[in-house]
Amino acid sequence: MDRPTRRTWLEDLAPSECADLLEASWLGRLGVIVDGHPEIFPVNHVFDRATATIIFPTNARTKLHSALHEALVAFEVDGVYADEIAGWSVLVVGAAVEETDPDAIARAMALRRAAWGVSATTHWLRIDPVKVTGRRISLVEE
Amino acid sequence: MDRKTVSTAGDDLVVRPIEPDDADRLVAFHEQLSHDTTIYRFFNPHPHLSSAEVERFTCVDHHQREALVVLAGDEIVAVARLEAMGEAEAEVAFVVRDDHQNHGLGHVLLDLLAERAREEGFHRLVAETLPDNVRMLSVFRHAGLHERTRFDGGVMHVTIDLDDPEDAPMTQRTMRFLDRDECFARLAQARIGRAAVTLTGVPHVVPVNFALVDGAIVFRSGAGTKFHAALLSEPMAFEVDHFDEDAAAGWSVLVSGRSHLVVDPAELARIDALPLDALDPSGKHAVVRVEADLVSGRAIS
Repeated sequence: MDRPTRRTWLEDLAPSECADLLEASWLGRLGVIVDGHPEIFPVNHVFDRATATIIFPTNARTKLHSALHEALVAFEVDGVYADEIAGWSVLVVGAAVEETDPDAIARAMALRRAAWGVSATTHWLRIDPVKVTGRRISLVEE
Repeated sequence: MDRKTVSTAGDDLVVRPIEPDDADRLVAFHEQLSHDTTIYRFFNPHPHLSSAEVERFTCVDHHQREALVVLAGDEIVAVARLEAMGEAEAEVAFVVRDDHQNHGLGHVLLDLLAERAREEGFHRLVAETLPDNVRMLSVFRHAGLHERTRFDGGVMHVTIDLDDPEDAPMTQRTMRFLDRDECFARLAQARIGRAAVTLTGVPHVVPVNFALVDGAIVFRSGAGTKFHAALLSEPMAFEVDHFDEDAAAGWSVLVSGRSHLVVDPAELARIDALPLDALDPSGKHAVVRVEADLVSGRAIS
């Protein structure tokens, strides 16, 4: 090998750091199992501090429906950049349910980015985290 | 439905309902289909249409039976059909001439058939396709509609629910499907993607530093981790995206396929020369290769 060997250095993130990163992110990837196959969908989300849940709008029934049928779904946000191949990632595993609480939806509407174009017919999906893990990734040359 | 112009892969094509006058064009179209394409449509070799078939295919009532033809100049390059199967359900089928495949025409035709079916009051579309017809399955799977599939006697049955269409916000912004070449062009430029695997029944998603090698996704993973074991025992999904926050514009490409360890020394040597770092912990890194069995992409602007 021509290039120097690089070793991955991982540091676990504290729960409060994970919450900060979930809150600061506006794009996450939803992992669901559809017909026995994992699938990934990018989604625009907000993190609801009041309930420590992730909530995002969806009308696409593939996402919503599949997620509701699975016991657990995955949700990932990261800040890994190709220039450095370093950064962080947070993985949430949790149960997905449709959010119907008007207060929670109002909070999500207030936090969302304007460009999302959420309408009255939008469904909101909420993930109640069962497990949240975060890590900071760095590569050190040996 | 009126005539519509659609653009795929730089060609301006016209879509319109079929007319009895299309008989000669339909025969010529059918003669030009490859053996494989004919088998995917008819499930058996069917090189020529009989005159009864030609009449049946070109004379439709546009309600219980509808057919749309896609024309390049005066030649038919694709046909899409809809046929009532009871009050709520309609069967769909479409075939695209080989030189126009992989241009996203299947997605366009499914959208148009779904629109026509809704106009006629149908609630579901059903389709039968051979399980190895990955292009067609990809069209159904990523149509943004609720889709169910089941195997039955060597044929895949696909059911699509028409009552809950793709979200309005998505269509207010312009969403278009990326064809296979566009998907690969984007995969070739990206270095970070996310891999999803099923770990004891639970999906997990992790970022990986990957490269596109001979049309497959390749990345390093720490041997001995639970994630690594899951990579090799399950079909997996791989996603790459790029979104601009302010414009809410961007694209995403999804790859699903079988994964396996790369063990061939020549292939490993080539991959070793690539700037690939494992993002999960281990002293010992194996190389995982994911075949691009199903590839789909969308761009939103």
